[in-house]
Amino acid sequence: MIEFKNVSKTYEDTGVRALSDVSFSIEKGEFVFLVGRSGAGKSTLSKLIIKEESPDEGEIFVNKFDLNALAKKEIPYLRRSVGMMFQDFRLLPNKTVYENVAFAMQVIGASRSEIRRNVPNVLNLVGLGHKARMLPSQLSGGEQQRVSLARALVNKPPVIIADEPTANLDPDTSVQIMELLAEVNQRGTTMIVTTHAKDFVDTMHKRVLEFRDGVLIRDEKEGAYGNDI
Amino acid sequence: MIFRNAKYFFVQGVKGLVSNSLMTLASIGIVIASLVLFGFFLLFGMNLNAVGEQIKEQCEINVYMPNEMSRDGVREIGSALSEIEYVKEAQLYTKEERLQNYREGVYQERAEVIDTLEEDNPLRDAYILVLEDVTKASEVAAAAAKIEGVQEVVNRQDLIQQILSITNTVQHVSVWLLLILAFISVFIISNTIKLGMFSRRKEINIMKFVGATNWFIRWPFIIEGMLLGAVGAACAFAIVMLGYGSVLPAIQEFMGNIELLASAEVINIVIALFLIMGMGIGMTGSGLSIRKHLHV
Ligand SMILES: Nc1ncnc2c1ncn2[C@@H]1O[C@H](COP(=O)(O)OP(=O)(O)OP(=O)(O)O)[C@@H](O)[C@H]1O
Ligand SMILES: [Mg+2]
Repeated sequence: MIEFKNVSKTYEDTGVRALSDVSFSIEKGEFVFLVGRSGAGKSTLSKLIIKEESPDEGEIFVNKFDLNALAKKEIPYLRRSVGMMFQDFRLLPNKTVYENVAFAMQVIGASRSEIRRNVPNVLNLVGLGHKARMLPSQLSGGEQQRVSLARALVNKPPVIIADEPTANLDPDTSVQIMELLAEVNQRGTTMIVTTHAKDFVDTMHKRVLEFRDGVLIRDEKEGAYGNDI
Repeated sequence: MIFRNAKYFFVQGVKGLVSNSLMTLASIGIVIASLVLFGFFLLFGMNLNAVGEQIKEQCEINVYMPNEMSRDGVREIGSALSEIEYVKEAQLYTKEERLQNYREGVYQERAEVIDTLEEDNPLRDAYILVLEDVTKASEVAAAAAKIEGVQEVVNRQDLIQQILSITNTVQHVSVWLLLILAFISVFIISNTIKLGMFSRRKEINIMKFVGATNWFIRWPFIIEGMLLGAVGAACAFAIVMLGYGSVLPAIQEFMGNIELLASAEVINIVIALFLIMGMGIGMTGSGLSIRKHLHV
């Protein structure tokens, strides 16, 4: 489903080698934590998956796409197959919750009836059906993160990448979000979660990929956060 | 895809215009100014052309004899004139007829001026040469000038040449003017669109992440540019046609029997050119901005 083969990435402008000879593969339906210190290369890995950045060396396969062979025109279709959640939510402040989610369907050319059918469904799934008409500024941080999850989900991508989904949330809200991600994963969506939240990684017993200075130093099934991060 | 989303693109395009009203006004303003100026030169040029054609058709050469020459002498010259090659007819236009013409024409309201001249008519007898071939006008004029007793030959062909050269200049000026104005308009429109992109960069960014195609992101901006151009063109069209309609009668009166182009004769070409140019300018402006600032 997602495969990295000897992937290296150096940012040209700073000369920082963000990833070094990284190889791993993630199967359909897996739940994977990406851990490591700040600057270890976790976000870079997400950017490579959606081809926001390209590797200097190595091969990357995402769903049915071979990213080295991917034409520029095809990038949107790759991105439709990967839902992204961001630490800072990235919601549109002047659109309601409903519109923020509908927007994701609109821009890929979904019909109006599809939008009317799917959006309420995902909003109910993340528990925000009753707040559909509110603006993001009228929501709590956890609720905003759930909107961003709903937006990532609404086009039914086989993979969701969540980059530090609990970074801005209090502990209780974080639990809710993580549970929600686990639930979505239960329904069959591959879930890749970058996090610094030791507690979750330790208690959820999922696969852990640990990076240090761009090198993949640990790939453990039912792993823990690790003590040296 | 485009048809399904046409309404979305259009609504987004209009939203872009409304949300950025100051720059929108500036853009529409510059398009109006450019097209009004261009329209002025266009109509001026078209009319010059029409005038030139008409004068060409009524091309005639006037041959003047000295004021004191006897009528017999004049008629002798007349038969010599009709011998010249390409002259179809030499019509005598006596000084009395010419004075009468002035009385009925230009001096209608000041007949007393003509009365004082009645005694001692200062005008000259003239022949009007009608040609078989208007392109031979200068040869005929030269031949007429050589005939003994002819005082002056006035060839309207010179006037045509002058008009043609003015027409030419006007055409050159208007093409250059058009290029410069179009360039400025494109620049301003592309800046307007750029600001629009800047204010919607968050939205554009999210669109990219959820997999919008490049064209999906571009269309609203293209439409925004086209709308700027089209609205500007429509306003400029109204101004130019209203202006033309109001000055035409006055100028027409001044031109006498040479007919200028009526509004109905120019309206189609003005509409077509303005719309094409307005929308072309708008699309070029947004296209430039998209190329430069919308890295998708
Ligand atoms: N756009 C960029 N241009 C240049 N260097 C970059 C860029 N993005 C990241 N880097 C560098 O690459 C390295 C890895 O960054 P990355 O964002 O992948 O780290 P991270 O593991 O996500 O860190 P964090 O936990 O703080 O989010 C860092 O040293 C960073 O400075
Ligand atoms: Mg990061």
